[in-house]
Amino acid sequence: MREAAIPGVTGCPVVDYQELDDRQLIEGTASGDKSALEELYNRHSTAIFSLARYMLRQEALAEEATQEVFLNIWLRASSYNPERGAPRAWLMSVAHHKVIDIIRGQRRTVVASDPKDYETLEVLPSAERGTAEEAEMNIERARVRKALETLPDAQREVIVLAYFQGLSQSEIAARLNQPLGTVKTRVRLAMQKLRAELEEDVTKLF
Amino acid sequence: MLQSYSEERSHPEDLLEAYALNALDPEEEARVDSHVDLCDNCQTELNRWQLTASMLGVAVEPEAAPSSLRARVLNGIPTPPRVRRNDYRRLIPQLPKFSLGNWAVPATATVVLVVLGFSIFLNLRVMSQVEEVTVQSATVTAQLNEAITQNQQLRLVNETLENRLEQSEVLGIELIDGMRKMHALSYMSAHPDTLPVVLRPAAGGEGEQQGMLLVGYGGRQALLMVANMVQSAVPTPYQVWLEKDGVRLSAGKLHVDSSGWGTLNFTPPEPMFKYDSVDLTMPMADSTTPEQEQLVLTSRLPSAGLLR
Repeated sequence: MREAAIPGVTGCPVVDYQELDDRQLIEGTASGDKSALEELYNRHSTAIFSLARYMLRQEALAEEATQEVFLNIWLRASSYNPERGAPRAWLMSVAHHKVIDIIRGQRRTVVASDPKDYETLEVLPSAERGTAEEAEMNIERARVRKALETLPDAQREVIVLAYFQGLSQSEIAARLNQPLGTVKTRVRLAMQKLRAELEEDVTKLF
Repeated sequence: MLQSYSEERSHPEDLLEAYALNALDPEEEARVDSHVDLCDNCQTELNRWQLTASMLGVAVEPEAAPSSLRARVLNGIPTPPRVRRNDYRRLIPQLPKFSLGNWAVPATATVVLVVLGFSIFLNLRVMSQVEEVTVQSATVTAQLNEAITQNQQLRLVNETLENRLEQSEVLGIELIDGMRKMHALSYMSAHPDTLPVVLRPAAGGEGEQQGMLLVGYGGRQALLMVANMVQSAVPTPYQVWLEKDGVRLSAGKLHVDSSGWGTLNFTPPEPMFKYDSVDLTMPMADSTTPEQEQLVLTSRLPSAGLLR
């Protein structure tokens, strides 16, 4: 159990950060509590680093991206509105946005151009983790992958290019040599199906 | 790219899915940003799409971050300046503890001395100012008296000037009157039909009084001129008479000036040749009838044959 006193306030009872939920930790981070950010790192650094590592395909870049993501969380925690989304969704959104910025800023082809790259999600080695929480995450991961597999190839292709490779719809249209309207329609249809498949998981997971 | 008003106002529902994926072009992303700030419905819908997009990140196989990354991340977080509770005391100047026995008496004495000294200084300063004001007041009073004296002198001068002006007006009137008389005299003197009649002092009369009567216009107009007349202490006009058959008829009063000169222009009721004489008398103090007045100048008038 990791405990610490609330910074700036003496005489208060010691806080067990592991007992706090993500929303409380974000609020603590917004108030300048570095220990709260540290606990957020403990809980979400793997997911954030994994996403960065997968999208950037370079460990050094992924470490740099992870560092910048947590700096953004530290600086922007006060902008988090619980009414607009779950804490984990906000953290992953911050991470995804930062990685996209790095990809577009460096103009590098750090990811494969193969539209079937999503298949690599399946071949990545699964982590052997024993905790119940991690086991639940593994289940959710499998459900998301399954939801992706249920999409038609053309729709799955635009999702992978957009989310994991950081391409805009215009860039996807140019990459696939398809009309922009067609790409937009595929993105919308794909997202609608994913939401229908993952609605329950979204509520439970986030 | 500029957006039309309708585009900005319309709900960008078809862009929300791509926005959640960070797959919009910058212009489209800006349009969504500006809209959802004002539209709660679209903001709620966008939140749902962002939840779905976030789920995609779960699909990635977990890979633990290097252990060294944790220290780099946490060390890279800037520490905001914080003021701990105990630091507040350092920010606020500490006041000395109050102790009546140590410094209250001398401090009070010092304050009293300062107040007393200031009062004396203030009193001296006020007295000096009062004296200065008194001197200034005396100066102003003297100047005021001088101004009053000058004003009185000016009033006297003004009255003198007014008197002289009145005298000038009287003289002017007399001058105009004299000019008129001179005009008549010169006119009658120059007229060929005018007959001069000399008046002489009455028998027994004294002085060098002289008179001349000019009769013109067939006896209907007469001008009497006198000189060297005696002027009494109280200016009194002479009386001019026309006598006919022993009866005097007043022809008018004749005023003389300080030099004894005077004229009278008159129109007789009848032509002059019908009268026997012309007399100039001076009223006496106790005279009540014309006969009691002193005869000064007199002359017999010529007959009608001499008056053409």
